[in-house]
Amino acid sequence: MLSSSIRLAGLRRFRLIRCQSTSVETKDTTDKTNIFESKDIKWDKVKTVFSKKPKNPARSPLLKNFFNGQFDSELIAFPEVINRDDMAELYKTVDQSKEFFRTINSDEINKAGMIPSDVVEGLRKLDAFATDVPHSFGGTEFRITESCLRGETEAQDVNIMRTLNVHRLVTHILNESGSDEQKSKFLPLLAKGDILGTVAFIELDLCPNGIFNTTAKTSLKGGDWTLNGKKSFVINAKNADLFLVFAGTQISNKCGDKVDGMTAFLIESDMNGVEVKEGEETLGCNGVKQCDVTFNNVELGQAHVIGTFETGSEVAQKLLIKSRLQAGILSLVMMKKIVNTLTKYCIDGCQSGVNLMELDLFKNSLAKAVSDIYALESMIYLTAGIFDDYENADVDLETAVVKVFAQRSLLRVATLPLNFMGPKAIVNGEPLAECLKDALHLNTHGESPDSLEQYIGLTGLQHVGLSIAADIKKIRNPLMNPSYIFKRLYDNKNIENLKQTLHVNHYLHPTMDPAAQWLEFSILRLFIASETLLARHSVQIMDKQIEVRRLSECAISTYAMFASVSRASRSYCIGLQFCDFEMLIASAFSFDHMLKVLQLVRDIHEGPYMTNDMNYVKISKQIFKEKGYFSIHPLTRNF
Amino acid sequence: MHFLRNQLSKLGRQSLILSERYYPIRYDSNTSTDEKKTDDKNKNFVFEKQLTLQSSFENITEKNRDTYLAMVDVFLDRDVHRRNHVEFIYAALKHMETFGVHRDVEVYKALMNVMPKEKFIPRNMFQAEFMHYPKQQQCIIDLLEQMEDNGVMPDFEMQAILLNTFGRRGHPTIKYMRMMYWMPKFKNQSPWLLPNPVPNDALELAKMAVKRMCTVDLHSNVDVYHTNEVESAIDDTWIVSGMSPEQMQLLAQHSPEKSLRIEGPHLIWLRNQSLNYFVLKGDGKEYPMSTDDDEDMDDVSNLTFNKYGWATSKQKQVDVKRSVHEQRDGVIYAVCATGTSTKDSLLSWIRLLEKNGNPCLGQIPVLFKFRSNVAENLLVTSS
Amino acid sequence: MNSIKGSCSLIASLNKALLRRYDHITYLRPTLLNGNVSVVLPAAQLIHTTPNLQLFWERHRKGGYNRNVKRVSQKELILNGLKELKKEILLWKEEVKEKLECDPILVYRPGETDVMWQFTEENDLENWKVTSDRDHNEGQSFCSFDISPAGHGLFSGNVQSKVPIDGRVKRAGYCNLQSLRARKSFKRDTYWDWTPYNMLVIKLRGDGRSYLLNIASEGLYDVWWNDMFHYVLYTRGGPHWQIAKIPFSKFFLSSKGRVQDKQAPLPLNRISSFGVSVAGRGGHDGPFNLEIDYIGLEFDPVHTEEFAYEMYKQPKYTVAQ
Repeated sequence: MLSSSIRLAGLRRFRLIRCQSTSVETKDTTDKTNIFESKDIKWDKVKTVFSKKPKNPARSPLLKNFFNGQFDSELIAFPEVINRDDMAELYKTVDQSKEFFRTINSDEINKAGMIPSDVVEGLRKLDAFATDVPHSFGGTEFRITESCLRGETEAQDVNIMRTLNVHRLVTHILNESGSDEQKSKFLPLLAKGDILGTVAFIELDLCPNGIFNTTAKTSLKGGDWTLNGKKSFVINAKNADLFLVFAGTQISNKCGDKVDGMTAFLIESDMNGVEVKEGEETLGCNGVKQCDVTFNNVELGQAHVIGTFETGSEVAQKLLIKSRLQAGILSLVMMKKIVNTLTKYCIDGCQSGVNLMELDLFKNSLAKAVSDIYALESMIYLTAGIFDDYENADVDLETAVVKVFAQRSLLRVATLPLNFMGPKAIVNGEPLAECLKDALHLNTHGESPDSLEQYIGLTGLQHVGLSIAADIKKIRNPLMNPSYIFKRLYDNKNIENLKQTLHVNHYLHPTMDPAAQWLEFSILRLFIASETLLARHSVQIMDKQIEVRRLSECAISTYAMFASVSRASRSYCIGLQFCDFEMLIASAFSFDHMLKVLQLVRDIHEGPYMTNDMNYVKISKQIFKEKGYFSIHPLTRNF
Repeated sequence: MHFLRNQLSKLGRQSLILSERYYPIRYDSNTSTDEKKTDDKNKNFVFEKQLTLQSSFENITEKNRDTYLAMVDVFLDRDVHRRNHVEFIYAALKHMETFGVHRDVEVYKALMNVMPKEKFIPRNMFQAEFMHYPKQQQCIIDLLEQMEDNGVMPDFEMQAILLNTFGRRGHPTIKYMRMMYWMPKFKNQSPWLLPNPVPNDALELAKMAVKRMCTVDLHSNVDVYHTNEVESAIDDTWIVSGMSPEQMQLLAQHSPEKSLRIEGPHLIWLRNQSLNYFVLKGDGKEYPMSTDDDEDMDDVSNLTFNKYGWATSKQKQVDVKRSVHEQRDGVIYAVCATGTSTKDSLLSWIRLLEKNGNPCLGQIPVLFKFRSNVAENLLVTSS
Repeated sequence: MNSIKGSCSLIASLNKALLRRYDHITYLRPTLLNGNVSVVLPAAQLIHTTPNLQLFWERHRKGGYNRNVKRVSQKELILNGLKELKKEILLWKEEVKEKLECDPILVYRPGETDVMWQFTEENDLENWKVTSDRDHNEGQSFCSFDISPAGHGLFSGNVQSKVPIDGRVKRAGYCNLQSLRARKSFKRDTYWDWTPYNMLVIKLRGDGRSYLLNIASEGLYDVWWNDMFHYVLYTRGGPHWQIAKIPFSKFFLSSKGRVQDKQAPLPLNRISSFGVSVAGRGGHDGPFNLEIDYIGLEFDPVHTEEFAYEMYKQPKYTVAQ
């Protein structure tokens, strides 16, 4: 009886939050009118009005605190960023965009290797280049949530989406970190789409020492710096007029020593020494050519630096956060496309009198794919919501999780057709085959999932390290702190049997109880695992990549669970269509991932020697020694 | 060792006489070929006169595998009773090395076939227990042991011979089983496996040796030079040189004031062949004793890592890593083996190294630190 | 060619019963058991070319090799003992202190090598002995163990497998480096306990030869006196150091140089001495050179194997049981 009363109290609180989050709406923003006209489509004359809700005061980061075994009860009530009225307006522009993209023939773009000029014109009319530019510079000043929603329509064509993405990144960074002159010089032009921007970040070759092979050194003539090097895989470089280039520089740290750093430069394509060359042919995403951009003694001045010389990595951070969400949206749309096609295939397909849709194997695969999509979608909009709702929101890790999860599940889903259809899925020109190629291509774009995983794990540990450093010191010196050790032994935390201390279920719909418990245990286990790792390796954890990967996978699963559960609970409470199934999807997803987290935490708990890690280390040593596969052929006779 | 189990169970089932039938008797008296019979006469003559069989092997002038096998055939054809076959086998074993057949399993089998089949197989419990025909059994045990000493593995044909001669309870058979258990287990155990036998060619050996020494550094390059590439060279010989990019880098950092030295000749063994090699060495760089860690290894409140690319700790960049080539008694820059092991060929080696990517060697003085081969001098001649 | 200490035909007939069991015993040691060689018989008269164990028991641990050692009078023994008393008491004091301190290693951390012996100065060589076939006029090999110019232990010499033609031994050509037997104060025998470890670690510079590692585990009764576990130490050769890690599970049992049919894992709590030997058989005659920095022990949790050699169920009376 006691528990039910607690639950009621929790529910009440839950509703309260919901009220709060809808009551703070105000309308005090500028209006903006956009008129579209096109030859092909008869657009309605639409007036878009976006009122901006002021941001809530900053909150402590959500996912980082998972590592600490804490969760934010406010955020579990899935954020609602956009007002009711604005929503309708937004949907209008989204519909326009959808309508426009329906007319686009992706095959042709892929074959031509470029976006036709009438499409670009159409995009201009849709204000597609202006989404990240503030109203004062003639933009539409979309928030992240809004761009995500709109992005879903644009992602119908991978190539256009990627072109728009890099352009938006440039405008976003300019807006956030650019100087006033830079803004007034470039932003209006960028907003109209008169000039296009792109980002030059990736390099083909590994840099043996430092971050980038492209470096800016103090100039001996003319400008302040001389830029040299080569950037590869620059999207749309042929048509771009403005490059956002990240170059390795020597910056001084707090002590005044010179250390390797990076600086963001804004470089116009017509500057001396900038050369754009056709890049390597790649698998997938051929609609927009990726080019090599060479910088040969490009003289740069203060006007070319974004932010300050030292803050390059902060600029890069902002850029990465945004680009990760973009990657998430792109993957989401592709996954939906693939699943829809496969579903149709299963409904229509029939073999020896058995309909494919009756086969459990296919049912299971599709359902799993759908729950992945559901989780990804929830994560994207939860993250975007946090970003938009709070001042200086720290969504660094959340976006990283979105990207890793998106890329991993996209690959998984994109290979499903291989099982379902067999060789038919790899016929050149087939939409699913193109999807597979694009998926493979996207997997390599930007930060690789594996390195991002390390980033997630280590950043999380960094965060935990701050709060439990004193404890870790005691644990690592047991003989110096006997009383502490005994106390720890006494309340020995067991990863298998945990007590509910966070009461996540109080903030969710009661039907969600089991899933809430799984989520809570996963959060608690994440903390125990982080503590275990820090106690075991201390500062050397940086080099224990397998352990970090496990922790990171836990974090990814936990965040995905959190997002799905909170979204499903919201949908159920407010009674959205198919909300019953949302609950089912969220529960099924949570169950799978709770088990995954449990297994991973068990592995972390047992350490590298009890698990297989050290065995693989040993095997790998032999591989390097023999420079490859070394086993003798099984047919070999010894006598 | 599945075969052990298999063979033993097979033996249980098979009758001994039956198994004999499977074996093609090659060297029995009535199966020797006509061609061999042509020179039988004078060989028979050898045996007729000699009391001791030993010298009959010594008397052969042309010592090779064919003559050795011919000797065995002669013995087989001499008479039906094959008198003194134990003595013959002992004598033959003793002369194997001089005939160069001590690593040839076929020859061992030929010798083993001198023993009559079936006769020595124990027929009852007592015979089996009390070493039936002990002299003969011991003789074949010795033969097997000689094989073992020379690293020759028996084969299944030999098993058939043994079974037909001594049966499954015979001690030679058991010895054979032991050999077949242990020998394959160690056959490929070496981390630097060499062909068996190793080639006789000195250049091939040198390549193998230098390659083997260079396995410490995965990046090592082994180059074969010839002295005629150097103008002033007197010797006309090959040089096998091993050097890795890391060693080149270390050499480039070597200060020209300090001399380098060529040390040697050292010895390296490749199975039963040995080879001289030389090392280019210099004085080691002094490393400061590891600076006292002001960093608290237990403090996790300030974890920093590389955010771009593969995350690693910053520490790796700070620490200067001592390379494998920098040892306490000096830095090893390169190793080589030359065809003549003379100072002149080593000088050519230095010039060739200079030409091939180490220009700094032109400035650094190189000394020779030759070691007289101590072991040879101390070697006592047999009394 | 060979010789056997056969004193009388009575023993020889008794011996026949033992032949089956001991036909493979020892080749390194000649036959001189109990120190009473009487006649050297020509090979033709005896069956065995390898020496036989002639009795049901062995009198001396040295297997007859101590026959030339001069007997010392009781008085002299006492005097010698008194001389060593001081040293032994000091040793004993240390032992007691260690026991009272009771400061054992609590954690055997993986990847950390506990150095058992390190050779940097002459003192470190004190507890080691070198032997070779020449010591007993059974061959021409010779060897030494001293400090190398670089300041490490150097086991070097020359192995010759030429057999002296005096008819006593059948084979020759070995050099051996062995630690003195583990012992406590007052010359009491003891054993080293290596149970927490499972790897032998040797840092060495070799010459490409293969050496034999010997770990003796001497038992109480004569049949166990010569129990020794072996494994091969492969050396790379060349000027660089090499760290060889050999799991104890790989060591196989032998006695008097003969690999035993019935194998057992190395009893790590009963290690009595450690050694390295090199043989010249199979054409390996010549100089050898093995520089050892240290010999250590390590616990590697990844290595879980207990014994590497599988045993098969054999038909009765085929192997010595």
